[in-house]
Order: sequence, then C-alpha cells, then structure tokens
Amino acid sequence: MKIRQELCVGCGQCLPYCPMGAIERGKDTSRINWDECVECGICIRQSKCPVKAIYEPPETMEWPRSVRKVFSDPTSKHENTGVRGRGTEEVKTNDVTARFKRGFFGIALEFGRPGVGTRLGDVEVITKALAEEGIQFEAANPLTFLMEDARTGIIKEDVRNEKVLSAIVEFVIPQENLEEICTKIFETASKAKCIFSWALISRFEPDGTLPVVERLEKIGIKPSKNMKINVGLGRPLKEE
Amino acid sequence: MTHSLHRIGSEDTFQDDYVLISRPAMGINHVGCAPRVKRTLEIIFEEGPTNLGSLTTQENLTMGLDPQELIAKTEDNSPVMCCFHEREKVVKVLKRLKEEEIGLSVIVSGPIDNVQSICKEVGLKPHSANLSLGFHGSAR
Ligand code: SF4
Ligand code: SF4
Repeated sequence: MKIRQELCVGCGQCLPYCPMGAIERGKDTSRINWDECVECGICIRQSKCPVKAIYEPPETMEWPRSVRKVFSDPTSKHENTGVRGRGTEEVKTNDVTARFKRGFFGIALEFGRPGVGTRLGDVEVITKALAEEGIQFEAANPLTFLMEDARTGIIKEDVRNEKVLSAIVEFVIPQENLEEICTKIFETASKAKCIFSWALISRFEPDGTLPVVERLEKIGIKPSKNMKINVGLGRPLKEE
Repeated sequence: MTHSLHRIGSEDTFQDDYVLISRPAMGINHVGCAPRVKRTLEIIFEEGPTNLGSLTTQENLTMGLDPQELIAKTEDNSPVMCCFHEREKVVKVLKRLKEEEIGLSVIVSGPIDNVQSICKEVGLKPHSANLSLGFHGSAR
C-alpha cells in the first residue's frame, strides 16, 4: 500500500488502523514503510482517509510481493485453493468434509499472530523440524504451496523475505503420535524467530467426551476453556 | 473479543461471548447454497447479533452494514460470521437452523461447558472441536 504524497494532509487518522505500525507520520505527510507493510488492506478499507490518499499500486500484485496480500488480506483469494482466507476450512466444515477423522488429530500453527506478522522464511524453524518427524503438510494450504519441497519444509528462496500478517501450517497426525509431535513443537518453539499460536482439532467421542484434553494435560499442555465447536449441523453428515 | 479461537484474558471475561460461523464446504455442498446462506442470515438478524461482519460488503453491523443489502449480495461461497453476548440467542438461532434443516456447517466458539450445554438444550451432538493450545515464540 502507498500514500499519495501530493494528496496526504498528514492528519494521522490512518495510523491507528495499521496492525503492523507501518504508517509513519512525517512533518507534513504520512508514509507507509514498504518493507514492513503486509498489504492487509485495513488502512484503505477502514480508516476513511479524508482525501483518499491511500492506494494500492500495481507493484503490490507483482511476484513475490503478491504473496503478502494473499496471506494478509482475508478478502483476497488464494489462487491455489480458491478459498478466501489464509488456511483451509479446518474444523468449520469437518462435519461434511471429514478432513479430521476419528483416530487422527489436526494441528494448525498460525505464525505472526497476534499482531506482529511474520517473514515467510521465519516459519522454517518449525516446518523443517516437523518435516524431520515425517509430517505431511496439508496440500490445500497456501503455505505448503510456497515450500521448495513439502518433504523438507524448506520455504522457496524468492518469498522468504516477504512479510505477511499470518501464515498457517496445517497437518494431520495419527492419534498415537500426539505426545511425540506436541513435545517436538514445544521444544522447537523456543527457537522460533516469530510468534505463533497453535491449535488442535479433535473429533468428539461417540459419548460426547474429548479425551485429548487429558492427554495434553499429562504432557504439560493446558488447552484453553474457549473452544471452537462444530455443532454437527452440516449435511450430508460424515460420521467417520 | 480477540479471535474466534484464541482468547487473551481470564475465562470470566469471555463467559458470555460467542462467535458463530456458518459456511458450506467448498466442493461438497456449496453449489446452489446461496438461499440457505441467506436464510441463515435472516434468522441471525431476527435474533439480533452483537455484531456481524461480511467479506462480501467488507462491513460490519457497528460500521452500519445494511442487513437487506448483505442478504441481496449473498453468494454460494459467502461465509456467515457473527457474535452474540446472550446464550439464549445462540440457542434460538441453532434451534431454528436445526428445525429448518438448513444443512450448512455451523461452529460456535465459546467456553466449552457453555457450548456443550447449549448443544444439549438444542438437541445437537457436537461433531469436532478446535482447541487453543496457546502462544509461543518470540517477537524479536
Ligand atoms: S496495508 Fe495493512 S500493513 Fe500496509 S499500511 Fe495498510 S494497514 Fe498497514
Ligand atoms: S488519513 Fe489520509 S490524509 Fe490522513 S495521514 Fe492518512 S493518508 Fe494522510
């Protein structure tokens, strides 16, 4: 994103809207730090610039810069998934897709949130460690598409320095590998150069319980009481 | 509200804070589902959400989103995203979606005990859960 210097009146109204703090206020006008801007589009959509000085220059959509927008602006579509947003539909449609079946768990690591963003190359500390464990990354996830080789977890050279609001790593593990993989993530987390949040997707047991909570607590991981529940209203329903 | 899954702060600060998302599964039941998405929106608007955001019009209720305009613009792949601060409203919305057999997937994010009791009251069997395991790493 850029600000037309000839129009900007330096009012500063757009500054608080930028989640990256990338808008800098000068003596008479404001400017966007091109390297720090993740192209999330919040400034142009929300800040109601009184003189409409904020604009998206054509360079925004040139490779490799173009990946910033697809990973940061939820209104843009990922070309390889056709889905708006940064990841798959994960738990949201699991009652219909059965992406996460009984006997397996889904794991999602979201880099860059809350609020700091990430360079795509920085997620490699974790993706390489996971690849060593034999993890197969979700093919429909846009980050997997930017790996040199999904078997090594290495991110393509030309996109490594691109900064994005968030990037999600998704994969499925067999139930029996839970402790091993979670411990590995826990250990590798200390080496991560950026912030990440992590989440686990599990089916409810037929009796309505979630035994995974107890298993996680045994290895020192305490899931939040706040959970995202697929209430099973989707049709056709998949029970597997 | 901080995020539809990850919350910051003590549990009592989000006791009655529910995020409701409804959407079709792309490639499975999305073709021709716009009328069902519209009906979902109508039910939600009738019950009165605290807020509702739209990727289609890029607005939300607090910014002045017009429900009728949004419903008119709804397409097969338009997800429904809103939040409620009243348990009863969530119960009513889910009951109506179930009775009318809308058939789109619905997730409710909130304290697990509350969501399970809501599902019990509505007569729903929760299918899957997404659990937040917290934050790691460094901000440099
Ligand atoms: S596009 Fe996003 S990151 Fe870039 S200046 Fe605007 S608000 Fe900040
Ligand atoms: S809101 Fe517009 S005029 Fe004001 S500082 Fe930002 S770009 Fe400049």
